[in-house]
Amino acid sequence: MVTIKKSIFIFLGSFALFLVLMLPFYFFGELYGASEFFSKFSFLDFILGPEWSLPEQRYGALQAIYGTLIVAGLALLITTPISITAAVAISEFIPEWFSERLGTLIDMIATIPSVVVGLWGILSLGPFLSNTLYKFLVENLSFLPIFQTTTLTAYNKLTAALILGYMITPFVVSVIKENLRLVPIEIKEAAYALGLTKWETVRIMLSYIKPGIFAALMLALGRAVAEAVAVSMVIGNTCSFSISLLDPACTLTTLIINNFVEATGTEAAALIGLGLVLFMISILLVLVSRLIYSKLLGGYMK
Amino acid sequence: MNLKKLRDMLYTGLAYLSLLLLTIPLVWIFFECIVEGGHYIISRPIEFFTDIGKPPGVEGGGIGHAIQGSLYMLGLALLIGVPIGIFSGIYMAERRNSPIAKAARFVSDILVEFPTILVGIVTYIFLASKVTGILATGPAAFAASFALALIITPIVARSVETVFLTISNDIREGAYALGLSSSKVIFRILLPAVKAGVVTAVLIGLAKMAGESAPIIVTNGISNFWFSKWTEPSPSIPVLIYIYGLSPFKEWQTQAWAASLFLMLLIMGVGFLARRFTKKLWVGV
Repeated sequence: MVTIKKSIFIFLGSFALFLVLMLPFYFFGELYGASEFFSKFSFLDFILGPEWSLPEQRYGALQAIYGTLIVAGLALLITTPISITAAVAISEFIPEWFSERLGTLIDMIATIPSVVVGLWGILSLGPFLSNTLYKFLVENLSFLPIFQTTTLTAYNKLTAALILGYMITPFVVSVIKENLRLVPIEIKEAAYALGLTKWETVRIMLSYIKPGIFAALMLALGRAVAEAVAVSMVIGNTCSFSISLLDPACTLTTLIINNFVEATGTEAAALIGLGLVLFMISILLVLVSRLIYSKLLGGYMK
Repeated sequence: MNLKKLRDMLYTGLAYLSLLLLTIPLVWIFFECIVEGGHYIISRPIEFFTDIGKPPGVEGGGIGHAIQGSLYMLGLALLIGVPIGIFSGIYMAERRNSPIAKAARFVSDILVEFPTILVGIVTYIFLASKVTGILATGPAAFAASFALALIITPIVARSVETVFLTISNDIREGAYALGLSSSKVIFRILLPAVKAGVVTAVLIGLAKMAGESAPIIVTNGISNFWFSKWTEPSPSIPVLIYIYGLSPFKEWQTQAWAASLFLMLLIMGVGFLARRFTKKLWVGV
């Protein structure tokens, strides 16, 4: 009897153990795949190598890392004000019957497959922006280095960042909404009792949940860094260190998605090396956000 | 005092503006899908779902091959991923304080946020790569299924765990007090009680992987022919949208919109089903 009782948990536990081992398995898989490359080149040279050029057999990741950080960072800058104000509007300003529906609508953004967002970016948003916003920027603001470009295309860092910002927003909105719900009613009541206006009250509530917002933004940044298909469709896929937001670029994920299947030998191993860099960035971001959350669980999220 | 009111109005206006900014692209995407794609589907209602794509310049063509390929791929992925997810989810709930359960909870929280393209790369390295893979087939459909299965496993596990944690302890105690063995308690008492919740967990996983394209491109490559063998590249709906969207041909771009409409309706349908089952769950327990 005892043996039967135990054996079922050994059976189930082996599956749970499999789940636990998946993460180290991914890490060693990446290391194993990239080992051929790193036996010839040092990791530091790879990360700091400025150029990715197939014909010259030069595999430097710096341009891709630069593109990734610029595009994902810009996406985060775009999403932060929009998602905070949208979450506040949904949970504080709008009557409940309507805010629920609006919440569902915004959740629907998250269910759009990334390839469909990319399709919209390449066929609709990109051409639209290059005829309106980008034209305006180049004509009127080109004294700023970030808006200087020799040939204006619809597919550049700014398009990619706008699309990424849009894709990560629903997630941030829903987390901030959940956090706002956890603010004790006493704080709100005290603020109103002091005669504060609606927005002054909201500001107090936001400062109360600041760590929660930060954790959500870190996870969102991780998603932006990891997104592959939509970005590769609209970023123009030309590696460069150009500071202009209206110039094309490449990122870690776009280099992988565009070249991985046809790549062989050293190139394939170098692409897996890019994956290793991506692995480290996203694990770092997730861990930072988890750390904040676990601290919060002792705080207001108890 | 007036200044305060003005500032309040300004901020409130900005909040409504950001809601508008969020809604416009959603409406725009649906509008394009329905106008461009819906028109194409209506003009070829049967051909679109049964035919293979035509070369550029030739009128017509459908996404039948991609639908078939996606069905095969998602089917195998469910067959592999769902049992692993359910079993480990049950373990995480029923042995919630054991070290393995705690570790599994921690790791699956990380894996849910893990870049799916990396899952594809690792699967390719170990299974399909001609140099390092066990089966050495090169890009292949079965590798895509394995990658998708690995992607949904932590999602299903976490959802199943949550569902099992909603079962009141009285039920467990009552079942054990009758002298039933653990396996009978789990599979005859607890699992049937939360059947609807487990179905929801599977549907959530299905909705998540149905829209994935990066892991498929990395493991399976790109194909625009009928599904032939598991060891050959197979077409799929997301990848079809990807190639048709990037192509310069108007006919293909229109079909990409049509395929997007179909895919989004499919994912929304799965999500709708999941919500229906969740409602049932709360009535059932």
